[in-house]
Amino acid sequence: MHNCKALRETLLEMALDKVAPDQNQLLSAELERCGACRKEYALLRNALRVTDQAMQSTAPAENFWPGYNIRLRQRLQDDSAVVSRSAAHPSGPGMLIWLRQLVTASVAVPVPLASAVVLLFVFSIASVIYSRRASTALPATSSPTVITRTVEVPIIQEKPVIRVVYVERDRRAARATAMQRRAERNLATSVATRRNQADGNAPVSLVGFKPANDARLTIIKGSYRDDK
Amino acid sequence: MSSIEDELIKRAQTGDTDSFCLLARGYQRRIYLLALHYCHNPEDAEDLSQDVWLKAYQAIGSFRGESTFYTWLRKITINCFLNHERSGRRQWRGQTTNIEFLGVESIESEPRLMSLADSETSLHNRMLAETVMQALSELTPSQRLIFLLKHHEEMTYEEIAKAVGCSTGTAKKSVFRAVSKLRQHLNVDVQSPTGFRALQAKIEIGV
Repeated sequence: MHNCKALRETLLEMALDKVAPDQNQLLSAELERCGACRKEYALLRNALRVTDQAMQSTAPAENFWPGYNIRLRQRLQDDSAVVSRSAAHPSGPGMLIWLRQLVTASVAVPVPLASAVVLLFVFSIASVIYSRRASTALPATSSPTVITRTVEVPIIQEKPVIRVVYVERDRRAARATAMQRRAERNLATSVATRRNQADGNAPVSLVGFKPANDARLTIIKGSYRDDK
Repeated sequence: MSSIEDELIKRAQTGDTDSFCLLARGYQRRIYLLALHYCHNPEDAEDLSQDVWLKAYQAIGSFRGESTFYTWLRKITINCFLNHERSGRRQWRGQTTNIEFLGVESIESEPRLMSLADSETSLHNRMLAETVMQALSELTPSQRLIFLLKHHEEMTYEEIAKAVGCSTGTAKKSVFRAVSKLRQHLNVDVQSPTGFRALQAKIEIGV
Protein backbone atom coordinates (compact mmCIF):
# COMPACT_ATOMS: atom_id res chain seq x y z
CA MET A 1 0.00 0.00 0.00
CA HIS A 2 1.47 3.32 -1.05
CA ASN A 3 1.78 5.92 1.70
CA CYS A 4 2.75 9.37 0.42
CA LYS A 5 3.55 10.78 3.87
CA ALA A 6 5.82 7.90 4.78
CA LEU A 7 7.55 7.96 1.40
CA ARG A 8 8.21 11.70 1.40
CA GLU A 9 10.31 11.39 4.55
CA THR A 10 12.64 9.14 2.54
CA LEU A 11 12.52 11.22 -0.63
CA LEU A 12 14.95 13.80 0.74
CA GLU A 13 17.43 11.06 1.54
CA MET A 14 16.96 9.72 -1.95
CA ALA A 15 17.47 13.17 -3.47
CA LEU A 16 20.63 13.59 -1.42
CA ASP A 17 21.75 10.19 -2.82
CA LYS A 18 22.07 8.80 0.68
CA VAL A 19 19.82 5.81 0.09
CA ALA A 20 21.18 2.31 -0.33
CA PRO A 21 20.90 0.91 -3.90
CA ASP A 22 18.48 -1.90 -2.97
CA GLN A 23 16.23 0.58 -1.16
CA ASN A 24 16.54 2.92 -4.10
CA GLN A 25 14.97 0.31 -6.41
CA LEU A 26 12.05 -0.09 -4.04
CA LEU A 27 11.60 3.68 -3.87
CA SER A 28 11.74 3.97 -7.63
CA ALA A 29 8.97 1.43 -7.89
CA GLU A 30 6.95 3.44 -5.37
CA LEU A 31 7.51 6.63 -7.36
CA GLU A 32 6.27 4.92 -10.52
CA ARG A 33 2.95 4.39 -8.81
CA CYS A 34 2.41 7.92 -7.39
CA GLY A 35 2.58 11.00 -9.57
CA ALA A 36 2.56 13.45 -6.63
CA CYS A 37 5.53 11.76 -4.98
CA ARG A 38 7.33 11.67 -8.32
CA LYS A 39 6.83 15.42 -8.71
CA GLU A 40 7.99 16.06 -5.16
CA TYR A 41 11.12 14.03 -5.77
CA ALA A 42 11.85 15.91 -9.00
CA LEU A 43 11.51 19.25 -7.19
CA LEU A 44 13.88 18.15 -4.45
CA ARG A 45 16.43 16.86 -6.94
CA ASN A 46 16.30 20.07 -8.94
CA ALA A 47 16.62 22.28 -5.89
CA LEU A 48 19.69 20.39 -4.72
CA ARG A 49 21.19 20.34 -8.23
CA VAL A 50 20.75 24.10 -8.58
CA THR A 51 22.25 24.58 -5.13
CA ASP A 52 25.28 22.51 -6.13
CA GLN A 53 25.65 24.49 -9.32
CA ALA A 54 25.44 27.78 -7.41
CA MET A 55 27.90 26.72 -4.76
CA GLN A 56 30.44 25.49 -7.27
CA SER A 57 30.31 28.87 -8.96
CA THR A 58 31.41 30.55 -5.73
CA ALA A 59 34.78 28.83 -5.78
CA PRO A 60 37.57 31.38 -6.11
CA ALA A 61 39.65 31.56 -9.25
CA GLU A 62 42.96 29.76 -9.54
CA ASN A 63 44.95 32.95 -9.05
CA PHE A 64 43.49 33.24 -5.55
CA TRP A 65 45.37 30.24 -4.14
CA PRO A 66 49.03 31.35 -4.37
CA GLY A 67 48.21 34.40 -2.26
CA TYR A 68 46.21 32.28 0.14
CA ASN A 69 49.14 29.90 0.58
CA ILE A 70 51.57 32.74 1.21
CA ARG A 71 49.26 34.24 3.85
CA LEU A 72 48.74 30.85 5.48
CA ARG A 73 52.48 30.16 5.62
CA GLN A 74 53.11 33.60 7.11
CA ARG A 75 50.45 33.02 9.75
CA LEU A 76 51.86 29.61 10.66
CA GLN A 77 55.37 31.02 10.94
CA ASP A 78 54.13 33.90 13.09
CA ASP A 79 52.30 31.48 15.32
CA SER A 80 55.29 29.15 15.71
CA ALA A 81 57.51 32.17 16.43
CA VAL A 82 55.10 33.41 19.10
CA VAL A 83 54.88 29.96 20.64
CA SER A 84 58.66 29.51 20.75
CA ARG A 85 59.16 33.06 22.08
CA SER A 86 56.52 32.61 24.75
CA ALA A 87 58.04 29.28 25.75
CA ALA A 88 61.47 30.85 26.10
CA HIS A 89 60.55 34.22 27.64
CA PRO A 90 56.95 34.45 28.73
CA SER A 91 56.41 38.20 28.78
CA GLY A 92 54.12 40.71 27.08
CA PRO A 93 51.68 39.25 24.55
CA GLY A 94 53.58 35.96 24.63
CA MET A 95 53.00 35.86 28.38
CA LEU A 96 49.29 36.35 27.82
CA ILE A 97 49.20 33.53 25.31
CA TRP A 98 51.21 31.35 27.65
CA LEU A 99 48.87 32.15 30.54
CA ARG A 100 45.85 31.47 28.38
CA GLN A 101 47.28 28.14 27.34
CA LEU A 102 48.05 27.36 30.97
CA VAL A 103 44.55 28.27 32.13
CA THR A 104 42.80 26.44 29.33
CA ALA A 105 45.04 23.38 29.54
CA SER A 106 43.18 20.23 30.47
CA VAL A 107 44.33 16.86 31.67
CA ALA A 108 42.31 13.68 31.34
CA VAL A 109 41.67 12.37 34.85
CA PRO A 110 39.50 9.36 35.76
CA VAL A 111 36.23 10.35 37.42
CA PRO A 112 36.84 8.44 40.72
CA LEU A 113 40.23 10.09 41.12
CA ALA A 114 38.83 13.51 40.31
CA SER A 115 35.97 13.09 42.78
CA ALA A 116 38.40 11.90 45.47
CA VAL A 117 40.59 14.96 44.93
CA VAL A 118 37.56 17.24 45.10
CA LEU A 119 36.35 15.57 48.30
CA LEU A 120 39.81 15.87 49.86
CA PHE A 121 39.93 19.52 48.95
CA VAL A 122 36.49 20.19 50.43
CA PHE A 123 37.39 18.28 53.60
CA SER A 124 40.63 20.21 54.06
CA ILE A 125 38.84 23.53 53.55
CA ALA A 126 36.18 22.54 56.10
CA SER A 127 38.79 21.46 58.66
CA VAL A 128 40.69 24.73 58.28
CA ILE A 129 37.49 26.73 58.80
CA TYR A 130 36.56 24.62 61.85
CA SER A 131 39.99 25.00 63.46
CA ARG A 132 39.89 28.76 62.93
CA ARG A 133 36.52 29.01 64.60
CA ALA A 134 37.74 26.94 67.57
CA SER A 135 40.83 29.12 68.02
CA THR A 136 38.79 32.33 67.99
CA ALA A 137 36.36 30.96 70.61
CA LEU A 138 39.13 30.31 73.21
CA PRO A 139 40.74 33.29 75.12
CA ALA A 140 44.14 34.24 73.94
CA THR A 141 46.18 33.16 77.03
CA SER A 142 49.33 31.18 77.42
CA SER A 143 48.93 27.51 77.85
CA PRO A 144 48.42 26.61 81.60
CA THR A 145 51.18 24.73 83.51
CA VAL A 146 50.02 21.80 85.56
CA ILE A 147 51.94 21.20 88.84
CA THR A 148 51.14 18.10 90.87
CA ARG A 149 51.59 18.20 94.67
CA THR A 150 50.56 15.65 97.24
CA VAL A 151 48.79 17.22 100.21
CA GLU A 152 47.80 15.29 103.31
CA VAL A 153 44.33 16.13 104.35
CA PRO A 154 43.41 15.04 107.90
CA ILE A 155 40.18 13.20 107.90
CA ILE A 156 38.21 13.87 111.04
CA GLN A 157 36.28 10.88 112.00
CA GLU A 158 33.53 11.94 114.27
CA LYS A 159 31.78 9.45 116.36
CA PRO A 160 28.53 10.30 118.02
CA VAL A 161 28.58 10.01 121.77
CA ILE A 162 25.48 8.81 123.37
CA ARG A 163 25.23 9.66 126.99
CA VAL A 164 23.08 7.50 129.04
CA VAL A 165 21.87 8.95 132.29
CA TYR A 166 20.72 6.61 134.94
CA VAL A 167 18.37 8.10 137.40
CA GLU A 168 18.46 6.64 140.83
CA ARG A 169 15.25 5.42 142.11
CA ASP A 170 15.80 6.64 145.54
CA ARG A 171 15.35 10.33 145.11
CA ARG A 172 16.16 11.17 148.62
CA ALA A 173 19.47 9.57 148.52
CA ALA A 174 20.11 11.14 145.22
CA ARG A 175 19.05 14.55 146.42
CA ALA A 176 21.19 14.24 149.45
CA THR A 177 24.15 13.16 147.42
CA ALA A 178 23.59 16.07 145.08
CA MET A 179 23.31 18.55 147.88
CA GLN A 180 26.41 17.12 149.43
CA ARG A 181 28.30 17.48 146.25
CA ARG A 182 27.08 21.02 145.72
CA ALA A 183 28.13 21.92 149.17
CA GLU A 184 31.53 20.42 148.60
CA ARG A 185 31.85 22.33 145.42
CA ASN A 186 30.86 25.60 147.00
CA LEU A 187 33.32 24.95 149.75
CA ALA A 188 36.07 24.26 147.32
CA THR A 189 35.26 27.42 145.43
CA SER A 190 35.26 29.60 148.46
CA VAL A 191 38.55 28.11 149.59
CA ALA A 192 40.09 28.80 146.23
CA THR A 193 38.81 32.37 146.26
CA ARG A 194 40.23 32.94 149.62
CA ARG A 195 43.52 31.53 148.57
CA ASN A 196 43.62 33.81 145.55
CA GLN A 197 42.76 36.82 147.59
CA ALA A 198 45.36 35.79 150.04
CA ASP A 199 47.96 35.51 147.32
CA GLY A 200 47.02 39.00 146.06
CA ASN A 201 46.05 37.82 142.63
CA ALA A 202 43.57 39.87 140.60
CA PRO A 203 40.33 38.27 139.74
CA VAL A 204 40.34 36.35 136.45
CA SER A 205 39.52 38.46 133.38
CA LEU A 206 39.60 37.94 129.62
CA VAL A 207 41.78 40.97 128.93
CA GLY A 208 44.76 40.01 126.80
CA PHE A 209 43.27 36.71 125.93
CA LYS A 210 44.26 35.59 122.44
CA PRO A 211 42.56 32.75 120.77
CA ALA A 212 44.82 30.00 119.64
CA ASN A 213 45.44 29.51 115.98
CA ASP A 214 44.54 25.92 116.03
CA ALA A 215 41.75 24.32 117.87
CA ARG A 216 42.05 21.04 119.50
CA LEU A 217 39.35 18.63 119.29
CA THR A 218 39.30 15.82 121.69
CA ILE A 219 37.37 12.94 120.52
CA ILE A 220 35.92 10.88 123.23
CA LYS A 221 35.67 7.39 122.16
CA GLY A 222 33.42 4.90 123.60
CA SER A 223 30.36 5.38 125.73
CA TYR A 224 29.19 4.95 129.19
CA ARG A 225 27.85 1.66 128.25
CA ASP A 226 31.36 0.66 127.19
CA ASP A 227 32.71 2.03 130.46
CA LYS A 228 30.50 -0.22 132.34
CA MET B 1 46.54 7.32 3.89
CA SER B 2 49.04 7.69 1.09
CA SER B 3 52.70 7.32 1.84
CA ILE B 4 53.44 10.91 0.74
CA GLU B 5 50.75 12.27 3.05
CA ASP B 6 52.03 10.04 5.83
CA GLU B 7 55.52 11.40 5.37
CA LEU B 8 54.27 14.99 5.31
CA ILE B 9 52.33 14.41 8.51
CA LYS B 10 55.40 12.98 10.23
CA ARG B 11 57.48 15.94 9.17
CA ALA B 12 54.77 18.40 10.20
CA GLN B 13 54.66 16.73 13.61
CA THR B 14 58.29 17.67 14.07
CA GLY B 15 57.40 21.32 13.43
CA ASP B 16 58.21 21.49 9.72
CA THR B 17 56.01 24.34 8.46
CA ASP B 18 56.78 23.67 4.79
CA SER B 19 55.57 20.09 5.05
CA PHE B 20 52.43 21.25 6.79
CA CYS B 21 51.75 23.79 4.03
CA LEU B 22 52.16 21.06 1.42
CA LEU B 23 49.76 18.91 3.39
CA ALA B 24 47.29 21.80 3.60
CA ARG B 25 47.30 22.29 -0.18
CA GLY B 26 45.52 19.00 -0.66
CA TYR B 27 42.50 20.08 1.39
CA GLN B 28 42.56 23.87 1.44
CA ARG B 29 39.96 24.32 -1.32
CA ARG B 30 37.49 22.04 0.41
CA ILE B 31 37.93 23.74 3.78
CA TYR B 32 37.80 27.21 2.26
CA LEU B 33 34.57 26.49 0.35
CA LEU B 34 32.97 25.04 3.46
CA ALA B 35 33.92 28.19 5.36
CA LEU B 36 32.71 30.41 2.52
CA HIS B 37 29.32 28.71 2.39
CA TYR B 38 29.11 28.83 6.16
CA CYS B 39 29.87 32.54 6.64
CA HIS B 40 29.21 33.85 3.10
CA ASN B 41 31.98 36.38 3.09
CA PRO B 42 35.35 35.85 1.35
CA GLU B 43 37.36 37.70 4.02
CA ASP B 44 35.68 35.89 6.89
CA ALA B 45 35.98 32.60 5.02
CA GLU B 46 39.72 33.10 4.62
CA ASP B 47 40.14 34.00 8.29
CA LEU B 48 38.03 31.06 9.39
CA SER B 49 39.74 28.54 7.12
CA GLN B 50 43.17 29.76 8.21
CA ASP B 51 42.04 29.45 11.83
CA VAL B 52 41.29 25.82 11.03
CA TRP B 53 44.78 25.29 9.61
CA LEU B 54 46.37 27.06 12.56
CA LYS B 55 44.51 24.82 15.01
CA ALA B 56 45.45 21.79 12.97
CA TYR B 57 49.10 22.86 12.97
CA GLN B 58 49.05 23.31 16.73
CA ALA B 59 47.35 19.95 17.26
CA ILE B 60 49.06 17.82 14.64
CA GLY B 61 51.25 16.29 17.30
CA SER B 62 48.15 14.60 18.70
CA PHE B 63 47.23 13.00 15.36
CA ARG B 64 47.74 9.27 15.82
CA GLY B 65 46.46 8.03 12.48
CA GLU B 66 43.43 6.33 14.02
CA SER B 67 41.27 7.97 11.36
CA THR B 68 42.09 9.54 8.02
CA PHE B 69 43.75 12.92 8.08
CA TYR B 70 40.72 14.56 6.55
CA THR B 71 38.34 13.07 9.14
CA TRP B 72 40.60 14.45 11.87
CA LEU B 73 40.81 17.80 10.09
CA ARG B 74 37.05 17.92 9.68
CA LYS B 75 36.58 17.57 13.45
CA ILE B 76 38.85 20.58 13.93
CA THR B 77 36.93 22.45 11.24
CA ILE B 78 33.57 21.79 12.88
CA ASN B 79 34.91 22.86 16.28
CA CYS B 80 36.33 26.04 14.76
CA PHE B 81 33.00 26.81 13.10
CA LEU B 82 31.09 26.19 16.31
CA ASN B 83 33.50 28.39 18.28
CA HIS B 84 33.14 31.06 15.62
CA GLU B 85 29.38 30.83 16.05
CA ARG B 86 29.57 30.95 19.87
CA SER B 87 32.02 33.83 19.99
CA GLY B 88 29.68 35.93 17.86
CA ARG B 89 32.63 37.98 16.69
CA ARG B 90 31.53 37.90 13.14
CA GLN B 91 28.03 38.38 11.92
CA TRP B 92 26.60 37.04 8.71
CA ARG B 93 27.37 39.78 6.26
CA GLY B 94 25.44 39.60 3.08
CA GLN B 95 27.67 39.80 0.08
CA THR B 96 26.48 42.23 -2.49
CA THR B 97 27.05 41.08 -6.02
CA ASN B 98 27.47 43.95 -8.42
CA ILE B 99 26.01 42.87 -11.69
CA GLU B 100 26.50 45.18 -14.59
CA PHE B 101 24.61 44.60 -17.80
CA LEU B 102 27.19 45.42 -20.42
CA GLY B 103 26.39 46.09 -23.99
CA VAL B 104 27.74 43.91 -26.77
CA GLU B 105 30.13 46.66 -27.92
CA SER B 106 31.75 47.03 -24.52
CA ILE B 107 32.24 43.27 -24.25
CA GLU B 108 33.86 43.10 -27.67
CA SER B 109 36.11 46.07 -26.91
CA GLU B 110 37.37 44.43 -23.73
CA PRO B 111 39.63 41.48 -24.51
CA ARG B 112 39.68 40.23 -20.92
CA LEU B 113 35.98 39.63 -20.90
CA MET B 114 34.58 36.30 -21.84
CA SER B 115 32.26 35.69 -24.71
CA LEU B 116 28.65 36.78 -24.35
CA ALA B 117 27.51 33.22 -23.79
CA ASP B 118 30.07 32.73 -21.06
CA SER B 119 29.10 36.05 -19.58
CA GLU B 120 25.46 35.02 -19.43
CA THR B 121 26.38 31.74 -17.77
CA SER B 122 28.55 33.56 -15.30
CA LEU B 123 25.82 36.04 -14.54
CA HIS B 124 23.32 33.24 -14.15
CA ASN B 125 25.59 31.38 -11.77
CA ARG B 126 26.33 34.46 -9.71
CA MET B 127 22.64 35.18 -9.31
CA LEU B 128 22.03 31.57 -8.43
CA ALA B 129 24.78 31.73 -5.85
CA GLU B 130 23.35 34.91 -4.40
CA THR B 131 19.92 33.33 -4.11
CA VAL B 132 21.30 30.18 -2.49
CA MET B 133 23.30 32.25 -0.03
CA GLN B 134 20.23 34.31 0.75
CA ALA B 135 18.29 31.11 1.46
CA LEU B 136 21.06 29.80 3.70
CA SER B 137 21.29 33.12 5.51
CA GLU B 138 17.77 32.61 6.81
CA LEU B 139 18.93 29.53 8.69
CA THR B 140 20.65 29.53 12.03
CA PRO B 141 24.43 28.94 11.90
CA SER B 142 23.93 25.44 13.33
CA GLN B 143 21.31 24.56 10.73
CA ARG B 144 23.56 25.92 8.00
CA LEU B 145 26.52 23.91 9.26
CA ILE B 146 24.45 20.74 9.51
CA PHE B 147 23.16 21.17 5.98
CA LEU B 148 26.67 21.73 4.65
CA LEU B 149 27.98 18.69 6.48
CA LYS B 150 25.18 16.59 5.05
CA HIS B 151 25.17 17.92 1.52
CA HIS B 152 28.86 18.70 0.94
CA GLU B 153 30.62 16.36 3.29
CA GLU B 154 28.11 13.53 2.88
CA MET B 155 28.22 12.72 6.56
CA THR B 156 25.53 10.53 8.11
CA TYR B 157 23.04 12.04 10.52
CA GLU B 158 24.66 10.09 13.35
CA GLU B 159 28.11 11.45 12.51
CA ILE B 160 26.73 15.00 12.28
CA ALA B 161 24.87 14.66 15.58
CA LYS B 162 28.04 13.45 17.30
CA ALA B 163 30.24 16.12 15.75
CA VAL B 164 27.92 19.06 16.32
CA GLY B 165 26.56 17.87 19.67
CA CYS B 166 22.88 17.57 18.85
CA SER B 167 20.36 14.78 18.39
CA THR B 168 19.88 12.88 15.15
CA GLY B 169 16.36 14.29 14.94
CA THR B 170 17.67 17.84 15.17
CA ALA B 171 20.14 17.13 12.38
CA LYS B 172 17.37 15.73 10.16
CA LYS B 173 15.12 18.72 10.88
CA SER B 174 17.94 21.14 10.07
CA VAL B 175 18.55 19.52 6.68
CA PHE B 176 14.83 19.45 5.94
CA ARG B 177 14.49 23.11 6.88
CA ALA B 178 17.48 24.07 4.73
CA VAL B 179 16.08 22.27 1.70
CA SER B 180 12.69 23.88 2.26
CA LYS B 181 14.32 27.33 2.33
CA LEU B 182 16.26 26.57 -0.83
CA ARG B 183 13.12 25.41 -2.62
CA GLN B 184 11.26 28.47 -1.46
CA HIS B 185 13.95 30.88 -2.69
CA LEU B 186 14.94 29.08 -5.86
CA ASN B 187 11.33 28.47 -6.88
CA VAL B 188 12.50 25.47 -8.82
CA ASP B 189 10.21 24.08 -11.45
CA VAL B 190 10.03 20.46 -12.41
CA GLN B 191 10.33 21.37 -16.07
CA SER B 192 13.41 23.60 -15.73
CA PRO B 193 15.96 21.51 -13.90
CA THR B 194 18.96 23.74 -14.53
CA GLY B 195 17.52 27.05 -13.50
CA PHE B 196 14.66 28.61 -11.69
CA ARG B 197 11.73 30.60 -12.90
CA ALA B 198 12.29 33.80 -10.99
CA LEU B 199 15.87 34.11 -12.16
CA GLN B 200 14.91 33.43 -15.75
CA ALA B 201 12.29 36.16 -15.55
CA LYS B 202 14.86 38.63 -14.17
CA ILE B 203 17.34 37.84 -16.89
CA GLU B 204 14.72 38.23 -19.56
CA ILE B 205 13.77 41.66 -18.18
CA GLY B 206 17.42 42.69 -17.95
CA VAL B 207 18.24 41.63 -21.48
